[in-house]
Amino acid sequence: MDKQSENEPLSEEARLAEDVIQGILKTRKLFTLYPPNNPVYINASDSIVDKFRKFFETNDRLSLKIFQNEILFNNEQVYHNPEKSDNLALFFFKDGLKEITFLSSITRNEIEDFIRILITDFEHDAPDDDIVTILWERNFEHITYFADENFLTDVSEEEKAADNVKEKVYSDDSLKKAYHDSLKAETVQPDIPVPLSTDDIQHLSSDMEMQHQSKTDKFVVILFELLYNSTDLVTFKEIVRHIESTLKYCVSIGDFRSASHILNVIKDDTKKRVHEDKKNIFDPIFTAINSSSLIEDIGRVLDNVTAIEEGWFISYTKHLNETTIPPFINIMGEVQSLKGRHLVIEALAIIGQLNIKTLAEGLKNNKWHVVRDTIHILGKIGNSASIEYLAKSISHADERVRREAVKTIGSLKSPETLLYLSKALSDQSYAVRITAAKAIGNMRTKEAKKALINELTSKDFISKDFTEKKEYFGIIALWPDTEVKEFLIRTLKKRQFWKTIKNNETRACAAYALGILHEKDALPLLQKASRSGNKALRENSLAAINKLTT
Amino acid sequence: MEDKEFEKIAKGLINSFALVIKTAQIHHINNVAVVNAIQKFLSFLNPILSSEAVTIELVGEFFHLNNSRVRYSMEYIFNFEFLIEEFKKKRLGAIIFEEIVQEEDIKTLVNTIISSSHAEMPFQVIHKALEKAPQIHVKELRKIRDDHTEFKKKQLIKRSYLNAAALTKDITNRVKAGEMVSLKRPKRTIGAIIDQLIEDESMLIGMTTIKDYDEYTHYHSVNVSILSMALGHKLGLSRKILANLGLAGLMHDIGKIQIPIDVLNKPTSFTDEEWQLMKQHPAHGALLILRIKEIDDSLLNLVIPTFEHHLNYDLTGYPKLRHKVKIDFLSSIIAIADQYDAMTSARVYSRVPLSPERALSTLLDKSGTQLDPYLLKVFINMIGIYPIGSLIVLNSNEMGLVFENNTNPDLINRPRILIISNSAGERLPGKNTAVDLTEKDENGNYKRSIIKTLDPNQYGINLAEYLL
Repeated sequence: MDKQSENEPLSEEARLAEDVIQGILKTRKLFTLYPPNNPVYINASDSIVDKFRKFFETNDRLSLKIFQNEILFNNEQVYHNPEKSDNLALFFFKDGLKEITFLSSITRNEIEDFIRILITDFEHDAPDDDIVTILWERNFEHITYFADENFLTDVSEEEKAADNVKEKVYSDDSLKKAYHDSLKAETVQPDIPVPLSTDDIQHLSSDMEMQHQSKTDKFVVILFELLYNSTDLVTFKEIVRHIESTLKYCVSIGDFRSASHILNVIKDDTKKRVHEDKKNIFDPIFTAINSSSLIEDIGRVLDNVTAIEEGWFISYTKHLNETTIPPFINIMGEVQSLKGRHLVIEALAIIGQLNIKTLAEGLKNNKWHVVRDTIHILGKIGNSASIEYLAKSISHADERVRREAVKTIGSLKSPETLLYLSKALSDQSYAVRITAAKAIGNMRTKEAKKALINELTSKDFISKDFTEKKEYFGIIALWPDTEVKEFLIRTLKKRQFWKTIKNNETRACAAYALGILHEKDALPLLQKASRSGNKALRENSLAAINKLTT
Repeated sequence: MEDKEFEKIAKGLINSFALVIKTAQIHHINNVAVVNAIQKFLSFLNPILSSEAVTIELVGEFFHLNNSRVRYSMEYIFNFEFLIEEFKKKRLGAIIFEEIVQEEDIKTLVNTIISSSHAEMPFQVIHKALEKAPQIHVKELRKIRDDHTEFKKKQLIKRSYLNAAALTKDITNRVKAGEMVSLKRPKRTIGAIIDQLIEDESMLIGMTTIKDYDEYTHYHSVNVSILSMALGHKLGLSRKILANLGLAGLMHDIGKIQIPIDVLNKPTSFTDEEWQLMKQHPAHGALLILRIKEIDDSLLNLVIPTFEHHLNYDLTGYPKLRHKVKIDFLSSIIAIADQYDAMTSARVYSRVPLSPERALSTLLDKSGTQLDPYLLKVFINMIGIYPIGSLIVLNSNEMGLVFENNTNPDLINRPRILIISNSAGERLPGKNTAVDLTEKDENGNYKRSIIKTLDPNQYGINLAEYLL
C-alpha cells in the first residue's frame, strides 16, 4: 500500500474526507439513541449533510478504499482502528466490501438511509443479510460500492464438475453427423414470437403490483393445507407450532387480518376437519395469544405500525380471554400514539365484558389517563354493575377522571345513578358539576327533576357563578311541565333584601329558562323584569321575550 | 416540474427514443415509420430543450434524465430494456442534447448509432460521427468497476453459476442433516447473479443450456433460479423481489430429499404409489424450509413457490388444495422456468431431452391451463425463437450455436451466433468466431441468415466448450 507516512499531515481533501467519516461515526451513534423527530437526531443529520457538502465543494466523488483496520482516500489514511469492536473499516471489510463511493449529487435521504444501515444489528434483526446485501437491495442512486464475492464459497468441486462436462465436448464425428443431417433437414420458417397485447401488460402490471403486498394470507392457507394433509401426529404437532409462530409473526408486523384469519380457521374449520383427539394440540396457540408477552408485543406494534386495520384488530381481540385484561390495561398506560390508545380502548371494551371486576382494576392505576380510559371503557360496555366501581372515581384526585366518571355514571342508568350524580353536583370543579347536572338532565325522570330543583333551591345555589346557574336553569328547562313552569315563575318573581345582585342573577336564569320553555303565560312577568335596573335580569328577560314573540 | 410530470415526460422521452432506434434498425432512415417515430421523440425533447439541455444517461440498470433516475413502468419495460442493451453494446454512457434539434440531427444520431453496430469500437465511431452535429454530444459508458474483458466476464459468470450450484448442494446437505441454514451466502450469490443478468443476460442463460452435469437436481435448481430471475428482470421486478425469486428457484425442489432415491432415479415410469410419493415433494419442501429458518418476509417468499410450483394456473396439479387461492406470481414464474428446464434436460427416465423450440411449443400448449398465459408470453419472447444454445445452420452452410438473442423483437430471428463449423462441416480451428446476424453487406443485404435448426441434444453439441 502506497500511503503517506504516519506523521505526514493529511492533504486538505483527505482532511475533509476524514471529517465525513468522523461525522458518519458520530451520527451513527446519535441515530441509535434518538428517534428521527428528536432535535438531536435532526441536528446530527444536518451536520453530516454539511460535512458531505463541504467535501463536494471541491470534489465530485468521495471514493473510500476499505481495508481490515483502515480506510484510505486517495491513498491517504482517513480512518484507522486496530480494535475489533466498533471498527467501521472492519464492519465493511468482514463482508467483503472493498470500496465505497459517494457521488456529489447524494441526497439527504440517502445519507440518512446509509447511516441507518450502519446501525443494523445484523445478528438479531437481519440474520440473513450483510452490509453488501443491504446496499445491493437498497440500490442507492448516488452511492456505489465494490465487493469481493470470491470468499463466499469454495467451488473447487464444482469446477471439477464443470471440467468434466467440458471434457465431454462433442467430437468431430458428431459435428460431421450434424452437418450431414442438416443437408437433409427442412428449411425453417420460424414462428413470430407471441406478441404482448395491452391487456396482457395490464394483467402483468396488476399481478406485479400485488408483489408489494403482504403474502401472509397465502402463507396461512398453505400452512393449513399442510396441516390437513399431514399423515402423522408428529408432523401435525410440528405444523401447529409453525402456525403459532406465524400468528406471533403476524402480530409482530401488525397484520391482524391474517392473525384473525388463523384463529377463525382454527375455531371454525378445524372443528369439522380435525379429529377430536387432536383438538387440544391447538391449546398452546390460545395460551400464546393470551400471554402477557404477546400483549406487550401488541403494545409495541400499536406504537410502531401505522397501517393497522381497526376492523381486523377488533376481530382479533374477540379471540382473547379475560386473562389479557391486566396486560392490556398496562399497555394502555404505555402506548404513546393516539390511534394505538384508541385501539387498546376498543380491545378492552370487548375483552373487558368478560370480567368487569378485573377491568375495574384499571381504576386503581396510578396514571390518571389509564383510570379515565378505564372509566370510558366501562361506559362503552354499559354494564350497570360497574357503577359500584365507578362510584369511587367520583372522588378521584384528578378532575378529568371525576368528569369522565360522572359522564359514565350518567350513561349507566342504574338505580344508584342519581345518588352519585347528585353527590357530584357539589364537586369542587365547575366542569364536573356541570357534567353531573347535564347527566341528571339527560335522565328525564321525575326523580332527576326533583333532585335538580332541590339543587336550584338549595341555600348555597344562589352564590354560584352566574354562568353555572344559567347552565343549571337551561337543564331544568328540559322538563316542559307545570311543576317546572311554576318553579321558574316563582323564581322570577322572588325578591329578597339580602344578596340582591345574586338573587337578580338567579331571576335572570329563570327568565332565560322560561324563554327556552316558550312559556307565553310568563310574558307579562318577563316584560316587567325587562325593565329592571339589573343588567343580567334585563337582558335575559328581553331575550326570552324575543323568543316568545317571534 | 412536478415529480409526476417529470416521470411522465422522462418515460415518454426514453420510450420514444427506443422506438426510433428499433424502427430504424428495420427500415431506411427516411421511411415514414422512422420519421414519425422521430417526430414523436422530438415532441418530448424540444420543449425541454427550450429551457435546458437534456442528458439521457445510463447508470447501472437505469436511465437518468438530467441526473434524476427514471423509474421503470411495465408499459414501457421492453423498450427500456431494448435501449439499455443498445447503449451497452455501443458503450454509450450518455447522449447530451445542448439545444433544440431538428429531424435531420436525430437522423444523423440514429444512423450513426445503427451503423456502429458492427464496429470494433462502436462508441468511438459514434463520437467521431457526431462531430458534424455540434448540438449533440455523447459520453462513453462509465466504468463502475474494472472493465470486464469477454474472458473475465465469462470467468465471473461461470464462477457465479458454479457458486450457486455448490451452495444448493451445501443447503441440501445441511437440510438433510437437520441443521439451520443461513441464507446470507445464498443471498450474496443471488445478488451477484442478478448483477450479471443485468450486465449480460445471454451468457448466464447460456450456462443453463449446458445440461451434462452428473447431479441433475442441483444444476436444475440453479437453472430454474436463473431463468426465473431472467424472466423477473424482463418484467422489471425490483432487486429485492428478484432476489426472493432467485432464492426460491434454488430451493424449490428441496423437498425431493425426502423422496426415496430409487424412486427419484427410477429409469422407467412411476407406479401409482411412487407417483403419489413424488407428488409430496412440494409439501415436504415447504415443511423443510419452515424448519430451517425463522419466519419473516423472505421465508414466505421461499415457502410459497416451493409449495406451489407444481400447481397449475387453473389450480389443478399438486398438492391438491382444499381452499383454492390464486397461484402466487413468483410461483407461476418458477413453474414456467421449472418445466422449461426439465423438458430441455436429460433425465434418468428420458435420456434425450426436448430441443428448446419443442419445449417452448409444449409450454405454449399448456398456456392458460397449466401455465400463466401472460407470463408465458414474456418467457417465450425472452427465450426467443432461436433460444440460446440452439444449433442452427446458416445460408452459408456454416453451423453455429446461438449465444445471444437480439433484444429488438422485430429482429428476433437475427441473434448472435458462435460459428462451430465451416461450410464444409469441418470444425473451425482455434477459437470459435462470433457473428451477428444483423450484419449487412455493402448492398444492404444480410450477410448471413438462419435457414435450418437441428436438435443439439442429438449430437451432444452445446455451449460448454465456449462457456466453461
